[in-house]
This record gives sequence, structure tokens and C-alpha cells, in this order.
Amino acid sequence: MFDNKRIRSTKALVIAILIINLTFFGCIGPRGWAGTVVDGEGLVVGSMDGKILRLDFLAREEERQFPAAGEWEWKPDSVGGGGSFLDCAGSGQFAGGNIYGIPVVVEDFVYVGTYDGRVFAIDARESDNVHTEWSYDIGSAIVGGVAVHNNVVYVGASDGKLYALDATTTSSEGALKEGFETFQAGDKIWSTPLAQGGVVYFGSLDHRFYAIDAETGAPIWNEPFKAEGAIASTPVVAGGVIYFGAFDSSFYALRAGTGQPKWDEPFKADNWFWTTALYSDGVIYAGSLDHKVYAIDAESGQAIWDEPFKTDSPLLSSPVASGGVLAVASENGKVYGLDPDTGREIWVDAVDLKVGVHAALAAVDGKIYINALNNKLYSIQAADGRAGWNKSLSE
Amino acid sequence: MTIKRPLILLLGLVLFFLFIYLGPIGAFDLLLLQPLLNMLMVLSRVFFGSFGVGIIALTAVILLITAPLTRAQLRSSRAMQEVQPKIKELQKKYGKDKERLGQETMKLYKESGANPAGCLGTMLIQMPIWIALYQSVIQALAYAPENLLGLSKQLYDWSFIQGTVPLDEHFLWLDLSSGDPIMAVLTGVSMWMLQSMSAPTSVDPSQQSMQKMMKWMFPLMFGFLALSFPSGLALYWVVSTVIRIVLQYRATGWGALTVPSFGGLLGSLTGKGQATPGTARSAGKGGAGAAADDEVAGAGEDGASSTTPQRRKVRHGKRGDKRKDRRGGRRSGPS
Repeated sequence: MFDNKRIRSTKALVIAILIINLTFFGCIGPRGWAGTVVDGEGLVVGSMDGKILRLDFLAREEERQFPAAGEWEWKPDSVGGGGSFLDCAGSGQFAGGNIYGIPVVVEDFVYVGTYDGRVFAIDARESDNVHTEWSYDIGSAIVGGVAVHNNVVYVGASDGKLYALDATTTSSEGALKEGFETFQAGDKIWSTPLAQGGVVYFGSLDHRFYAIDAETGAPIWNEPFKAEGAIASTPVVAGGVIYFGAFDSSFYALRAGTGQPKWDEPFKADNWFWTTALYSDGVIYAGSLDHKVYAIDAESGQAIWDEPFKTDSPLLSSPVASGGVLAVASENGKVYGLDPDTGREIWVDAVDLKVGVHAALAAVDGKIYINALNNKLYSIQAADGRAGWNKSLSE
Repeated sequence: MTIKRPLILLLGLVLFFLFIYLGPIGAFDLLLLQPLLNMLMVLSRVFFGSFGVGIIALTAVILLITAPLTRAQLRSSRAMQEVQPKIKELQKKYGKDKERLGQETMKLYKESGANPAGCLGTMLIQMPIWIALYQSVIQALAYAPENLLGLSKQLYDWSFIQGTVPLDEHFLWLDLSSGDPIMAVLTGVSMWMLQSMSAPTSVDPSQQSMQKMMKWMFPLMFGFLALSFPSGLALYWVVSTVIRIVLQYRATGWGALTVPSFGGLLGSLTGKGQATPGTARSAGKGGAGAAADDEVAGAGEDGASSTTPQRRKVRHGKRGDKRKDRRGGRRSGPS
């Protein structure tokens, strides 16, 4: 009845299950969710394997071989260590060149920060000679994107510092902007900074929202605004008001000049706000990890729709509006086309990509572009949700 | 007994329907992972926002909750150790008659109250709890954005808990989100100690070599994992292993733990017998021995049973004797 050998082998099996659990299921390494940005007649997008690509709309419609004219691909010369399934701790903080933010394009130069702690300036003036103009090694994981303002690249990092880099430097190793004192927050900066009117706005996981002088790095407000939860969403600004969400399930509106709240009470959801909101005609559209999309009156902070639009999973990607349609993508890969006024579905059915979506959407000329977690870029007609072309970013 | 059975049945039914309705992962998350993860967040906040102290506190709480199971497991392994010499005798006696050997072995198990599958059952019950605890630590660390996203799905919607995100990754000299060589060494050493103490002393040479291999393989493997994984996880491994070492020590003494060069020092420090390599169980087994536990000492090949009564008194005192009496009582019952 009791066979010692069998018991021993069962014990070994139990221990093996524990170890498999430890190694394979316990540790999800950073993978990245790079956004997409419209660049003239094409798109610039980050791939999950750390590359930056430019796709031409016409070439993709006609399904030409990549790279067609006006298209290119860039990848960093080397990728930081780690990336193996055992490298959970990432040997420090590096686990590959994953990109989380949206690349920024300024006059044929593309700027991007990577999880292995480097900021790249990519010279893309000639599509057959796209190369790294400079790369600056911050030494700490970059999760948000970069902001470029007056030839300065602003980027926050996991060491809690906000860096200002000289975009025009001739040094291949990059350079910090002279006269700017690197700002130290109390915790990681995972939100993309917003640089406007000589001020840089950003949130930190230390629950605070900061406004600093773009030239010197000195704080602008008497004291940073303190939320009840960590702030990782990228702020938007409109009419002298800054809008952002936080992990306390609240959405805030602050007066840009003073940092004082504009609304009597922050807008409340049922889970965190991580996504960047969309401002359009006095309305803020924001998705929350509670699976819902909210339309908030930018003036009063009150809900506009009778009820929020409910999706099937959390919302991490930012919504976009195109051709009178508000498009949102849920984490499970369902894309919905909504009426911005009522929050009701316009498309007959949601588009099911059958793959996760974390990255911000992009929209132009009645089309929506989605960079999904299978490293593929999808295009969808904004009017009816009809599928367009798609392109693998890993080929 | 009559109340217990319907309760267990009811619990089983509830679990079954939860498994059907939510799926195994959903049920696991709801019943184990979420409560533990949220408890970890609460404890971290209560202890001044220190995630390190939170991990230590939660590990202690879980060990306390699972103490009856652990005790049963230790009792079972102890009883198994006790019958080893008798099994050897039976093997000598009925070595060629496999059927008779099996019957006599079963009879012996029954008479001595030992259950070879006993520790396995408790291990199986505890396993999901330990997996959930491990997952809680990993998820709460949220060192990568994907982990933080996962964390948001598991936290209760209480502002007290939501406000703890992100947790402070710094504890003592550690960055809890990065691997740490000191923690890797501590993990390996503590696991080696526990393995040495808890490994049953087998009379079968092939089993002995297997035990020897296990004694080194697991500590080395976990030491390596601790180097690669966030040290928050290694902290949890070290704390839980140290607590288990204490529990194991209370149940069986130092067992087969041997530290040849420091054996005497350890023995004199702990005041547990005259621990020197020379007095250790056969050919250095026992060492620190001194420590060698009573039942194992009896089972040893050196026939050191003459020292057994004295050791027992030193090691377990009254508790040990009481346990022995209880077992004796039980033994005389059914047989």
C-alpha cells in the first residue's frame, strides 16, 4: 500500500512543481509596450524587441516589401544584459532594450528612452542611412517616454530623477543640458513628462505631481501636488489646466500656474488610472483599470455620459478620436468605437485582435493604429472598425 | 467527528463550485493569492511602510497559521525515523520474501503510528499556500511595469491598501527588487541546514546517497535562484527557512546536521551535549551534533543507543517525553 519509492517520487514531483512555479510563473520580466506616433505620411513605432521602425502609409496599403521608400528600421547597437527567464531581478534594473513610451519625432530626428536606461537620438534624415546620433546612458530603467522642448530632451527614470539632455550635442555619448539641475523626486518617475511654456510637468510613484522650470530644473510651485496614490499616467494640458490620473483611482485637474486643484473633488473611478487621457472639445476621455472609459467635463470634473462605457478588461492604452469616433482598446485586445457624446458603441461589434494591447493608440485620416503585444501593428477604419493592413514589427 | 465531516464536505463542495465557476487560476487568486497579497500590503503599511518587515511579518503569520500542519509533518517524519531500525531488521529477516516483508512493514507502521504518506499529505495542503505567498511577494515587488499592472488586478479596493503602492524597495542593505549575493548565500546555507536536519536517516545505502545529493542540490539551486531573483523573495526564503529550522530543532533536534569544523563550538554554544565530530554519529554523521536526535541516534549504524536517554532529556526536555508518552499510549491502543 505504501511504497516508499512512490512516495519519494511524488515528493520529488511536488518539489518540481514548486520550482517550475518559481522559475516560470513567478517572474514576468519587462516586455515593453511602445506607442506609435504619426510622422507625416507614415508612422514611427517601437517594437517589443527594442527596434524603432518607420512605416509608410501607402507602402503598407499596397503591401510592398519592407522597407519601401520612406521606410526604415533602427535598432540599438547593443542591448543591456539580462532578458533570460531567470533574470528576474534583471541584474540590477536592466532586462533588455524594451520600450514603453511613445517615440518623439522632431525634424527627422527620433528620440526614445529604453528600459535598459538609455536615451537615443536617431538621425532619420536619410532613410537609407538611419543611425544613432547620440545615446546617453542614464543607468536606470526608463518606463515613460521622453519630451522634447526647445532642443532639450526631458526624461524621467526609475531612480526618481528627471534628466534634461541637450538634443543638439555633437557628442556621441550625449550630454546633460547645461544649467539644468537634475531633479530628484521621492520615487520612480514612470510618467512621460509634459514640457510646455518653459515648464516641465510630471508625476512620480511617490504620489506627487511636480512642475519644474525647463531651463534650471527648479520647482515652479510652492510645493508639489500630493495625490493619495502613485502617479504613472502622462499628463495632458489644455486651457492652463493639467489633467492626469493616479493609482488612488482618482483623476485630477490642477491649475498649471499654481498646482492648485481646479475641481472641488477629483473624479473617482473604481481602479487605477494609468493611461494618458484624451482632451477634446472641453471633455476628458480616460480609461481606467476598472475596465471602464469615462468622459469627464474638463470644467467641472463631472461625468458627461449617463454611465461609463464598460469593456471586457482593464484599459491601459490611451484613447484616440478620429472621424467623430472615440476608439479605445482594452487589455484583452478588444477595440471599441464609441460615440464621444453618448459613450455608446458606434461599430456593430468590437474588433477582437485576440492579443493584448497596452500601448497608446494613434489615429490619423480616419484610421486607427494599434501596436499590440504580439509585436504587430494593426490598422482599423475609424468609421466602422473594418480591419486594414497589419505589419509584423519583428521581421 | 460528526460535525467535522459535513463541514469538510460543505467546504469541498464550495471549493468545487468555485473551481468550476472561476477556473483553477481564478479560484487560486480569489482564495489564496489575493488575501495574502493584500495582507502583505497591510502589514507593510502597518510596519512604517517597510516592505522588508512586511515580508518577515507575513511569513511568520503564515507559518503560525500552518503550524498544525507543520507539526503533523514533523511528527510524521519523526515517527518514520523511529521505525527505520526495525525496518532494517525486517529487511534482514524477510529480505527474500517481498510479500511478507510488505505485510510486516505495514504491520510495523500501524503499530508504531507511522504513516509514510503522512508528511506528503500535509505537504500537498501547504504547497498552494506557499506558492501563493511566493506569488504575493513577487507581485507586491512590482519592479517592472507589467508586474505593477498585475498587482492592480489583485488589490482590494481599500484606500489604505491602494495607498501603499509602490512599496519601499529598500530594507537594511538590500534593494528588494534586485538580486543580492549575501541573501543568496544566506538562502543556500539556511536551506542546507534545514535539509540536513530534516532528512530522514535511511538504512538503505542507495537512499542515503540520494539524500546526500538532495541535501546539496536544493540549497545550491535556491542559492542560485536567490542570486537571480529579487532579494525580496530571498528574504522570504531565508525567514521562512530559519523559522522552520527552529521548529525542526524543537521537534527533532539538530538531526543529521554536521558542521565538522565548527561542530564543537556549535555544540558548546547551544549547550546541547558534548558535540564534537568525534562523538558524532557514525563517521561524522551527527556532528553538531550532538545534536543527533534521539530516534535517529537509535537508528544510527554506530549503535549509540546507550547515550540516547541522556540526549533525549537535554534535547527535548519534558515536551519530548510527553510526546513520547502520547505516542506510546496511542501505540498500545489499536494494537
